[in-house]
Amino acid sequence: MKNLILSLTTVLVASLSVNGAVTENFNHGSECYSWMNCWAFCNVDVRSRSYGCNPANESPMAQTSQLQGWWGCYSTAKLYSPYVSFDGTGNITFKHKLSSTSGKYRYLQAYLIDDQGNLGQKIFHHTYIYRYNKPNGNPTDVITDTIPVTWTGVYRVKWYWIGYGGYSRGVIDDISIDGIYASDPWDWCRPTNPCPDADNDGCCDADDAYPNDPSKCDNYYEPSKDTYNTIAYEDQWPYSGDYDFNDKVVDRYSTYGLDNNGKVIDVTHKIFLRAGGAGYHNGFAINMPDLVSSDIASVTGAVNPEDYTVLNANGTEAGQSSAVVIVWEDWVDIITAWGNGSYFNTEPTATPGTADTVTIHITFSSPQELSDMTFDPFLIKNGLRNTEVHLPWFGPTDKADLSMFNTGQDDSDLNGPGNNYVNSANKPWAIYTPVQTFDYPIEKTDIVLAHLKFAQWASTNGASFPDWYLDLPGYRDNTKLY
Amino acid sequence: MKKLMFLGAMLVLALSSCQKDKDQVKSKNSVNAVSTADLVVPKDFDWKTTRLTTLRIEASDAMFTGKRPIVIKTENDRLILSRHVGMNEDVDIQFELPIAYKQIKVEYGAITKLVDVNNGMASFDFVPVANEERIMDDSENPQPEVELIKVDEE
Repeated sequence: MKNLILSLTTVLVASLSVNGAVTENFNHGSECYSWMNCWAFCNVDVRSRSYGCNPANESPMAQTSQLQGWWGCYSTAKLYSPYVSFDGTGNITFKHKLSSTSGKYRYLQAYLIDDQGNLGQKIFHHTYIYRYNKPNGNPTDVITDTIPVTWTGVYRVKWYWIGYGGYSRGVIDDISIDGIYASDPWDWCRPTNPCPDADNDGCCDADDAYPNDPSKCDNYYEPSKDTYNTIAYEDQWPYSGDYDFNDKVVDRYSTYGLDNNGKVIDVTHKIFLRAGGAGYHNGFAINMPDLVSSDIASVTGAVNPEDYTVLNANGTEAGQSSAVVIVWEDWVDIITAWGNGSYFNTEPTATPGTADTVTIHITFSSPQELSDMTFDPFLIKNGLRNTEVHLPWFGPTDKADLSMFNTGQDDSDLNGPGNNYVNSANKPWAIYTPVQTFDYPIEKTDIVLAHLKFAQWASTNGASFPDWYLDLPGYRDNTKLY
Repeated sequence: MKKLMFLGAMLVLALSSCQKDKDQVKSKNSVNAVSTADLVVPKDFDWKTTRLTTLRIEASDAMFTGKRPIVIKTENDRLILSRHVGMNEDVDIQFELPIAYKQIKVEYGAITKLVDVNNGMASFDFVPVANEERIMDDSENPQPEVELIKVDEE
């Protein structure tokens, strides 16, 4: 059994690694690139100097600081390889030298560091200078050394320079280590660990948001994890309202499940009605204009007891050329307590009401691109399926009565490059606050009086105060917010 | 004729002055608007508060070939997206980002970077930035055989 576990572990480590030799020639010229492959330095840096090991092309090499020592103590410098899985065969080869003959003592040693970070056996020693003598010839000549690999297991190699007196530096280049690369840059360059993957989807259980679901690994959160944002409506379209943007205030938090290639498998929308400052029996729906109904396998969670919408077998709305999901047909159906105001949660002196959170779960027929998850939320005005209220940069669905456009105050540009659902002065019927829930104005209070930077944002084409919805100093009149 | 040209020039100046004043009034009205109806909104303003943003992940020649999660967060550490990627593949990740955000935080395990977002584009590579923490120190472990090579007394 132990042998089986050992074999599996070896296979898993190997699957995260590269067979062959681990090499480093420093020709990228930067420690940062070496770090990426889990090489590490202490009093060593990567430079291009005339005293390198490859003077013909002066390619970069690693050099130590000047190994002068001080007050009877040696100077040291260290270079660490990544972790390598050794099998007892092959060699470690490298070029090395000193930058000059200056110094009283200069040595280079190499050690193994085990997978717990402990110093292991010494595998190499070279004396450049001993009491000003050069026992192995001129130390500025390039030496190519070979260390036979006689050990097995996962180790990193540590080159260790020791020096005293003078100002020469150690130089090393063109390192090649026979073995399997076994460091994990994601995990602080620790040895690659066995990677249990219960659902065999290529994502380690420890990093898998769905460790027992082979179809999914990761999530995309809109707007961010455990956070809602808001769509706020004026519901009188095509007639202008009072711009308090509280006729319907809808919060939304979406979680898109992604496969191991980043494609979307499903999405869960949590939709919460926070305010209803008008009496219309509005429905709420989501259009996905980049998808068609057949892209969707199933929809669950809709609240549609009013029966004025017609659904396909998969839960999308019938008769649409894009994928449309009804969230609720009438907001009244999701209210759990009304409060005692004339409206729902827009009058500060009234007892607040409460509503259910509606959870819509959409499963796609096949993995979809994240860029196709366009979210177009819209009101269905007063239960009239032919009357929709969208954000300005979206158009109507196939169920909308196009003859209503450009009536009342509407000045939509259905066939042109301009906005839809705006009046002739480019004022919208809906706004979207992307970061957090919207602190909406109290009943019949214009948004420009409550959110004090809204006007500058709109009048400057969005250049000033793009964060107008945040609670920052000078941004709000809190007495005018619910 | 000269008088006529002078009068014409004065008229143009006077009209352009009036136009400037009118614009200033408009601008003032927009900033201090008491109602949305008063607002002067550019005809081409799209009212968008988010933008489809592309994070381009640049492939490296890293020796590690496994897939690990890359994490995208807002500047204030709110998690937007996690996705498994390999260090050797070019990947574009698209997501909606508030226009107000000028930077995102991108984390690949131990490699963390604050990345600028310009016109809906951002890029990330796996090369760590200079960081003292990456300089190894095994001083807690047994030290090499320095004591065997004594420094001679001068």
